[in-house]
Amino acid sequence: MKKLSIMILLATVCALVAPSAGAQVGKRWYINAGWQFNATPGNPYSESAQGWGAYAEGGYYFLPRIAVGLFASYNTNNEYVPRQTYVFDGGALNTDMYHSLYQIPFGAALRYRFTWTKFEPYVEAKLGANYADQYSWFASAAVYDKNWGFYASPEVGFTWHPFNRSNFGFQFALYYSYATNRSAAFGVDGINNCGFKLGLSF
Amino acid sequence: MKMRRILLIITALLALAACRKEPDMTETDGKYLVYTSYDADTDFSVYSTFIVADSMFVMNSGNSGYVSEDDDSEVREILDAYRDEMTALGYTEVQTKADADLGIQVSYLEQMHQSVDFVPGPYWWWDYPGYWSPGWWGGYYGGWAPYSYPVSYSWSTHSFLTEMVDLTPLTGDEEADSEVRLSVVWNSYLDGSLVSGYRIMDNLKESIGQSFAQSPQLAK
Repeated sequence: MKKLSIMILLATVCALVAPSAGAQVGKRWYINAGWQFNATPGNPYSESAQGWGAYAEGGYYFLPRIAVGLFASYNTNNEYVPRQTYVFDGGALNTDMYHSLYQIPFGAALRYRFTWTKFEPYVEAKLGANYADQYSWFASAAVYDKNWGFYASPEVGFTWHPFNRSNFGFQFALYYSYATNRSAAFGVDGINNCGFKLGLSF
Repeated sequence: MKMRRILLIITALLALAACRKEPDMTETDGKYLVYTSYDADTDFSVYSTFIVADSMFVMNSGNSGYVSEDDDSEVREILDAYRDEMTALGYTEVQTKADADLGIQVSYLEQMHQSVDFVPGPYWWWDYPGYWSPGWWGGYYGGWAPYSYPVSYSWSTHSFLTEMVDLTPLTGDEEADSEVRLSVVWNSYLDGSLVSGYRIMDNLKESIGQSFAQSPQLAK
């Protein structure tokens, strides 16, 4: 068992490091930015799939296949809540409204690319913080809450660099994320996100 | 060059981050928001009669005044809606303040912009110049501070404020009644900021009905 573990470890190290001996990896920096479409499945406050978002990230390949970097993105997810009556101590409120969930996750990313040709598929893991606020808009007023949480996100995607001698290209990625944000006022206990990103790569 | 590009991207991101997508409120159902509150210490079963003030107080960003139902058929229609709701609940309408247990006063916010971070009691419109003087009923207001409500801003147009005042402490003696402290025991706020102009009176009557429907405390 111990021997097997050592072999797996060695094979992993070889897979990660060996290609650097025989290949020119081009620019070690990468910068990606673009449009983000985000869904909030199962969210009790605002469950929707909408494209009101954007992202930017950049990193450095300290090994030919492995990069570390930073990321930030934002998304708004709005959901219409049909008219109903809310009864509370001393009164009641009858209205329809919009629930609006706004998120800004940011932090560090670790990327592994499978090739460094014109077409570069990759997998990525992100860790960081997630700012979120929840606004309930109705008539001439809004009630709101703001909160912070930890953020983790796996991602799979590719960058495509169609031009020779240029780092310019395009990016597409699918992601899932979970943030630990909580709002007692609005019944939010963690936020699941999934979606896709479409952008430019430099 | 690389750093300049990075800075450009970060700057663009920060600029975009301000672009929170606020919902399109014109896509709501175009009806009134109906807010009601009541004094939890009041036993409404002790009341049996009511009177509705024969005028409506209209506020319009600095201009205000009372419009009598004798001069405006729409005012009469609105006040009649309150009379009908109270009668349906089992209260009896009387013709004089002296005979009434409850007095109802209705106000209309034609256009009012007021920035409010937090609304403590009593309501901010109670300080509005010319707003229903307690003297109209014979005493003065006191007691119940109705509610506090966190809001980010307030921009009220085409909204109605209605207050139900307990008149039972009044004796009919004008001099003695000037010292009587009156309480607002129920009120409603019909926010018409998003109300569409189509069939607006039907819409308003429906919201008046809703304000009573969601106040089971008033039922006899």
